[in-house]
Amino acid sequence: MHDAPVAIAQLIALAGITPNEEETQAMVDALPVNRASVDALYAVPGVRYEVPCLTWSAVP
Amino acid sequence: MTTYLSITEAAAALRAGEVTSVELVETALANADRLDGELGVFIRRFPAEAHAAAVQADAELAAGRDRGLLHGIPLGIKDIIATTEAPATAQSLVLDPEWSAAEGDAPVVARLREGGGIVVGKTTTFEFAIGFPDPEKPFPIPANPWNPAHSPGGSSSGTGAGLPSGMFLGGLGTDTGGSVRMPAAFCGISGLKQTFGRVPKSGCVPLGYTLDHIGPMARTARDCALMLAVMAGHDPSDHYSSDRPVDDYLAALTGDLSGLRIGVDTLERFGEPADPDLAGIVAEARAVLTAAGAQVVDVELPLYRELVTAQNVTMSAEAAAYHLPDLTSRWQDYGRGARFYVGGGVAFSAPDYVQAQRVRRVGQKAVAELFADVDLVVTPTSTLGAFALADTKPTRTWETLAGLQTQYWNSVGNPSLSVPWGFTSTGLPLGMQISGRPFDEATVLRAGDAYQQRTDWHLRQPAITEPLPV
Repeated sequence: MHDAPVAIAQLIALAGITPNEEETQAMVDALPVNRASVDALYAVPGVRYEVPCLTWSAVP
Repeated sequence: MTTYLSITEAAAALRAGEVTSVELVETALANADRLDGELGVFIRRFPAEAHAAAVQADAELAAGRDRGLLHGIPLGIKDIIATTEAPATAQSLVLDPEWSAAEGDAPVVARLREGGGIVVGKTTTFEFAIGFPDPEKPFPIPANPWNPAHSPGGSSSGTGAGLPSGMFLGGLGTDTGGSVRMPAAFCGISGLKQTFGRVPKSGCVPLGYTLDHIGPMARTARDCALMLAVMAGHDPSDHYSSDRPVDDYLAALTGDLSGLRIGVDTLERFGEPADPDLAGIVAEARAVLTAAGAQVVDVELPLYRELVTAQNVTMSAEAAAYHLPDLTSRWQDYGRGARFYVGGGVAFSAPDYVQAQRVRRVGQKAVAELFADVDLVVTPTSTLGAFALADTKPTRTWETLAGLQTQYWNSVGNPSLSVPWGFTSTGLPLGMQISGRPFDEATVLRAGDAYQQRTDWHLRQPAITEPLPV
């Protein structure tokens, strides 16, 4: 489980951005909801062996 | 009921000698002089350049050099797209003007000019196409011509607000999660997010590299088709742009939907907030589409929540990658909405981003299965009308935009059109979203045009305006 304030503080520090107190709190508040939505992506039926929709070409 | 000119009507009037391009441009600029201060449509206008182009357009038409139906038509261009008149701002203090100067005209703008279109100005936008306009920054706050206490939506706010206000007859927006279709719905006009790659997006500040579209906005689906015919096609400067042949979109507008099977998904099963009049509006639209010859059935879009999440993760991560160098050094120069949304992208991991792309692949296949059963899918563009400006929450983007149902189609890349289909219980416009198979804009536009041949929602005009005096 995530400790949202700790996680957000670390992510902010890692990225080097400087949100104010209100913005940081909003990011903390959003994290559990966002994580739940993102975690659901890993449970989509049929996705386990699917390839990403992005393609790479050796030709620039 | 008052009317104002569509591009199609103006083109006919020009060729009939009933109006000149100079008159069209002068009327557009006069409407801007009268209403722009209240509606915040333009970042910058180019009256001298537009007048000169109109004089040339009239001379060319008189000499028999007809560039096509956009010849002599005043257009508004969203100010995240590069044009030669002035550096784009993206409605931000942060964008380097040297970028825009180096771009010159974006390829799509060059095509509109080659077709005779006249750029009258650069229109307002959410900052970098994502951040709610910040009153603390030196840029106009766009307002809705139907009720200036409300937003026109975004991020193509100025193009959305300027069209029903008569400040131009067509315009460009961009759409990464709904930014053409939302202002189209909120302002009572038509707006198309075409298939990803149908129109080159080079020369546009990116928000989501795999989600961005430059799309036409106009009074009617027919006008959108007319613009798309000029805009579409491969350009080597955008490796995402498709080299598939461009269809004859105008020829597809038969007015008849016989043989088409249209699926309707009201999205009610998700319990989203909805205007009390929406159910009746949907029922009426079903009847119109049926009367036009279509077979209308109920459908459910697959993986709806998951594909919306995938769009959000993708947009957040791609935008964060573009902006991080500036976010770290110029956080205070960004508006509160833009910096919060883009900065929030750091909460998604690299595996999250890749997973979102895998889900998009699964979603594309599931949507393709749906389109084996139906030719088009109809949903509300938004289940609510435009939000009040006073309710804007820079750190609560998706709360402010509750009811918006556009992101799904960016996630999978299919074409999606919004056309007006009624008003909320408080008199704000609502839009019908018509989506189709990849690169089947012809069928999408055919349905929008057939609907508009049988309804008059797109002909309504906000009380703040008067008919164009031509």
